[in-house]
Amino acid sequence: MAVASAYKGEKERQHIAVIGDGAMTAGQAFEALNHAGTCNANLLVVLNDNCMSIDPNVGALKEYLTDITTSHTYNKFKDEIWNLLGKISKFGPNAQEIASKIENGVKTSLLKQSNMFESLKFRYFGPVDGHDVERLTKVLQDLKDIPGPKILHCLTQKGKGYKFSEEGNQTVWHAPGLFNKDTGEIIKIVPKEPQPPKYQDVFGYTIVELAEKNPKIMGITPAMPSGCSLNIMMKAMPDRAFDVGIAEQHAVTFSAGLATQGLVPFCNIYSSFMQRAFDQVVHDVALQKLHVVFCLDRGGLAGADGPTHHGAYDLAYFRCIPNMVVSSPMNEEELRNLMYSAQLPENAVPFSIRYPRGNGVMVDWKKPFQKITIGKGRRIQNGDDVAFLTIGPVGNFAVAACKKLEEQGIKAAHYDMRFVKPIDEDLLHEVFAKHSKVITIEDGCIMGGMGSAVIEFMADHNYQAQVKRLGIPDKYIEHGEQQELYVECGFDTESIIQTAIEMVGAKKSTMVG
Amino acid sequence: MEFKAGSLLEKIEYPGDLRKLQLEQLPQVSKELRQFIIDVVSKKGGHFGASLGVVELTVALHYVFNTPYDQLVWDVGHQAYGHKILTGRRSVFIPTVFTKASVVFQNVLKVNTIHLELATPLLPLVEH
Repeated sequence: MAVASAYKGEKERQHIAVIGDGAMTAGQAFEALNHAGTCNANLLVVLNDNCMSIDPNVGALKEYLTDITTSHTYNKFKDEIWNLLGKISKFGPNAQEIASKIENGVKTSLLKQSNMFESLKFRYFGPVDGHDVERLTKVLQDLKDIPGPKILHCLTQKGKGYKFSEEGNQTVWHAPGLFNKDTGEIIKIVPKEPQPPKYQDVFGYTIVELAEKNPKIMGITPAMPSGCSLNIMMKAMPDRAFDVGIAEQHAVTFSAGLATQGLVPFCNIYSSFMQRAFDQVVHDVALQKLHVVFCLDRGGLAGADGPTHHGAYDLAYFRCIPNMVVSSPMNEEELRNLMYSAQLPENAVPFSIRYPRGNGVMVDWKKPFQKITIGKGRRIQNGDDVAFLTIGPVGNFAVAACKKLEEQGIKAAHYDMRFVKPIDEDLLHEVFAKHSKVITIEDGCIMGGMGSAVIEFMADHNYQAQVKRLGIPDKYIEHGEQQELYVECGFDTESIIQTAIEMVGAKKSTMVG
Repeated sequence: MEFKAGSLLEKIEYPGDLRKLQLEQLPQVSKELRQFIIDVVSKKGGHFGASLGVVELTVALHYVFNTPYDQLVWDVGHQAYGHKILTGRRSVFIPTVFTKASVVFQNVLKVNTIHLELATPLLPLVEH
């Protein structure tokens, strides 16, 4: 934007980018800083430094920022620098250049090393107290008069100004849900009956269980330890579980590096965030045929976080990569068995397992491990009128649909494919030998997903059948409760039933005609 | 559900209204903005800590810069609740946090990890 304004001659126009210290750990932030420093455009970067992402930030950058912040000498002199700048900036561009030199000189000597941001040709200001609004206003007014790329280091506290979030656990208060604002009590509906666990917790406990038996297993998350429940392993085995910061590309290549040394990394990344690391998966893992297990949390519609968080595309974007195994469990037991199978030495290939946000379906989920053969699906139910092919937990919608359809005299068969790649061809031969009406159901984009794989199989083997594909349509899905969105996209239980009735009904009318 | 903004915040529909205030009034605006976020999020859910942390920064940025002519970009939507409230979306902000018409993440361009919350697209150009 700043470069566009410069090109259009809008010299007075200002451009401000606010970036958190968490997001600053991402490679793209440095790519942009590196480029912007040479553009000489009117750009102010406000580094909002609260020492947190959702979980506490990690890494050397955090320590560097703390160093700048706590440099006593620097803090002592900063007011004088500001006074100096404030006066000199009134004299116009030439004087400002002197100010820059003075300021650079002072700061470099104070920090005893060159400032990282100034090395990138940004002028660094700060740190300033991000909660003193009047002072902040004056500082910003000064900065407005200084052309070119600048960075303002602003110290803030997450949850500031509300007693309970200031004093409480900041990860909890990132997105607490509903709460009583007077008492700070977070409102939780505690059900009387035991509930099925979250899929993320099944992952978190199962990886520890597996790692206790297999010393090669390592855990990796890019800044989502509480979100994906790797924090369970980080606590139990701190030397074997890593939070690498908001850096998905690094998480994948770091996992690849571990795998080259014979370890078995479980790299847990939200489906939509894995999009950032596609190239690393293709070149650094799949091309090398490395034994990395990708656990894709938040696969499918994620709910209230909306289009940036829906994991719509992973089945499609992983399916086209050679050497990749692409799987999704129908329930908690299947998730455990896929994780168990993925770490076995005989399955030393890039192996992805995707599962959704939220709770599973089994209260009693901790079953003994059983091996699943790569590329083997399973028949859940026989039936003559129509066949459901499902991948992942949407299989449970199909189970419910089968029951209700039976009440209406329609007999549906149901196959849980388990693997989108390699897809179970034996099972598909069985399906198309028996069925002329097939419905594929997936919590992922219709274009390129499991349904597409089925149709490709049909074309390759000259099968003729009527196939209806249910899944996420070719558009961005907005925010909403997960169930609400399943209905909108048309692959909830009721939609499956309706689709089946339409197809089977169509068959009957054709026969009559 | 009724959410009442404080007496200063109530009069701010767009950043231009904020810029009519005196510097000394900004702490009060910040206080009211923070209280409004607490009121709404406690009843409606949504992200919380990040937006509370940038209340003063949000007020100062819109006070100093000529938004929306000057371009303001936020890296994630969930720290931009205050920004939305000051930029013509106070009333839409209220009932929509968890429903389908939600604007909380709307108009967020996501470029890898960087979510860009643009100040301009939803704003009528009343500033100039």
